[in-house]
Amino acid sequence: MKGHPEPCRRVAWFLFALFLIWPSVASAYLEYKIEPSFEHLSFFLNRGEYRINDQETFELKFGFVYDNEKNFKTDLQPRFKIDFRDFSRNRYLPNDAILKYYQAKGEIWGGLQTITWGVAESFNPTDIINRRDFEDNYYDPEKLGEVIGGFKYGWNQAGPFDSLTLTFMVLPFFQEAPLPEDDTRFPLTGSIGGIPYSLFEDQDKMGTPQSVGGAFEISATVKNVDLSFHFYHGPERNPGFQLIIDDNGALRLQPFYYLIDMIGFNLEAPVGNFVLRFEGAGKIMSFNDPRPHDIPFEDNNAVPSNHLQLVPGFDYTFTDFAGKGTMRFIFEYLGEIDHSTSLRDFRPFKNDLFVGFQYDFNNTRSTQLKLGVIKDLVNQEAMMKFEFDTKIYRELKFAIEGVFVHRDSTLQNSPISFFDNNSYLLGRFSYAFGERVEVK
Amino acid sequence: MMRYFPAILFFLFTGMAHAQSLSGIEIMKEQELRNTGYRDEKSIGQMLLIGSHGEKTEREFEFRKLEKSGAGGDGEAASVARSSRIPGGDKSLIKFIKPVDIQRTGLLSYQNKNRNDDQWLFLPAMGKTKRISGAGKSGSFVGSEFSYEDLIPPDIDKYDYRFVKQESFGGSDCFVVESRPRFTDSAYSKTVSWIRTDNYQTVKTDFYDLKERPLKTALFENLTLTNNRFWRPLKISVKNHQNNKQTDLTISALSLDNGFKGDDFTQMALER
Repeated sequence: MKGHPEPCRRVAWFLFALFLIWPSVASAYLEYKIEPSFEHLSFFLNRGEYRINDQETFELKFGFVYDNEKNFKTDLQPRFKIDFRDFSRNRYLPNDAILKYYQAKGEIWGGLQTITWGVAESFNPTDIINRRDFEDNYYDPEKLGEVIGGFKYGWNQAGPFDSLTLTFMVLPFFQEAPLPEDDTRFPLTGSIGGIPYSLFEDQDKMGTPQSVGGAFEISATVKNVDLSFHFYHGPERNPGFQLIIDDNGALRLQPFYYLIDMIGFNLEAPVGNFVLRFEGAGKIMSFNDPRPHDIPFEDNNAVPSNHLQLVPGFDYTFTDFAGKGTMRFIFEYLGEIDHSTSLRDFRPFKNDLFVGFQYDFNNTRSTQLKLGVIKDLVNQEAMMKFEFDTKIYRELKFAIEGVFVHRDSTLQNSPISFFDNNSYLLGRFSYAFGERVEVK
Repeated sequence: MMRYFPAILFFLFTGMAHAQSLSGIEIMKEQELRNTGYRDEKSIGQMLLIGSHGEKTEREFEFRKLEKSGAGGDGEAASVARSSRIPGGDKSLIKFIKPVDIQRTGLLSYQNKNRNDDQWLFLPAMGKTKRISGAGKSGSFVGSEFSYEDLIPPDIDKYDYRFVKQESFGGSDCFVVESRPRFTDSAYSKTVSWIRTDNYQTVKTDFYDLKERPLKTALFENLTLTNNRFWRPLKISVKNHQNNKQTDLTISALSLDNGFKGDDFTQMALER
């Protein structure tokens, strides 16, 4: 299956087998969770083809946690996702399947995992550990599990630092990101000078020695400020793009991978009724071979240039708002030092403003409403997303979600305006049930 | 019997005079003194949320608490000095077990002496830990009638106390003490507590909103003596008078002095 090579399958099956035999050698608790869901997504754009106009997805998620409450834990989350209209979106492998050994001061773990770095609400430039599923969705692509081995060690208090924690991770296997094919909703097709191009399916992978990634995080609280610094070295998990001419003489867009060094930071601090946040990531590509690929249509190589991404912002909470609810107002700036729009620097959010609201009704149904708008400060591009979800009966949940995009037709190299207007509305029903069972 | 009557009267009136001469802060300090020395606490509880129309939702959680250092906390002897940079405070960690949609959601709270308390909320669905702001602390905790502020152990140095009166409640003689927060981002203008005169345990608290209107009442019931020394309520009911909602909290398992240390109350422990 695309994007899920053999190492992931072996790791997942090993952990599942370990999970089955674990009860015979340990005793503590077992938590299980089952969550079926069905969603229908309708694009406003009529592509004239029944199969790719809408999405109808059934997903079955499982969660199994086994913890002896002393030092061992397994966390397995299999899932099955089927799109009745587009089987290329079907997914069967878990994104999280972990075996962990822990003590109070530290832990060692291995398996498939999704890691979340970043404190900003709208966009997290430091969050680069996992590849994204661009075949499924390009507005907010899902993170796919990576095979990761990690070690974490912490100190409750070390000098001026509280909760000082060091985390080391190794990503020994490299996997390609799933990309949309030409007959799907988000085809990577276009034209240059009137010459059409389309996606070249063979992705240019890293060589074996370069495919290993490593990450390091140090985090601590100083007075009331949460600080963390991040470092990643290895292949960028999501591809860049270069234009090539294939054997048939057609112009093709080839995905390729390059080495990246990311140095990032996150800062979060409550100040009165505000919470201040600042996230930043410097991304350095200097260690790449300057001409690894044939680039007939670019001045230089297609490896992105070094760049710095910054997301400062804050949120403010109003309580007892509109009938005892809690309203959180969020404001963030998404910026980059480099505002170029070439193919090599094909990235969103270089000079944008984000305004968001989150309203919790504080009722027994866990009803919540979210609304966020990102607006480019230079051109007319804008995106709005809203989510409303609530329990309607016991653990039966209903959610409505929508993304609305305003493109700028004068822009050709912006990731927002490159694609068709894929604004959509989504409705979802889900039901979650589970139990914690003491295992003797 | 008559020979002892004058003595009985003497001690009775002396006792009454003594109680009346106690100030609010003295009563609260006596309460704190009696509740000090448990080292740490672990409990499993059920939270029943009752909506204004009678609809109910159940939650189950695990609660852990570490007593501040210098009071036998951190697993260390009371004589061991903590770093003078930040005077010690209690720490607590709540993790939800049920229902499934908030499973593993956790709240970590640090009580601080000389500055605002710290709270972090872990959301497993997002894989993120978020800071709770000052205003956020007055918000509802997972839709219950407990606010985030209610879940931080109160530090008596952060309130002004006034002895109101002495009266009976629930069959027990009680001191009635009014507390007003000295910090600015509290959800309450004041609270009024009924504290039993025999064991200095709170059995009822009335909360008032920032406009000094009655907001909610908490009843602390089924007081149980644990480890032959420490009283714990096994049931807490909070009734909100303004929105007619109620939250009942029942403790099904409780243990003290489990050997917890500061490392068990870090963000790493919150996210584990």
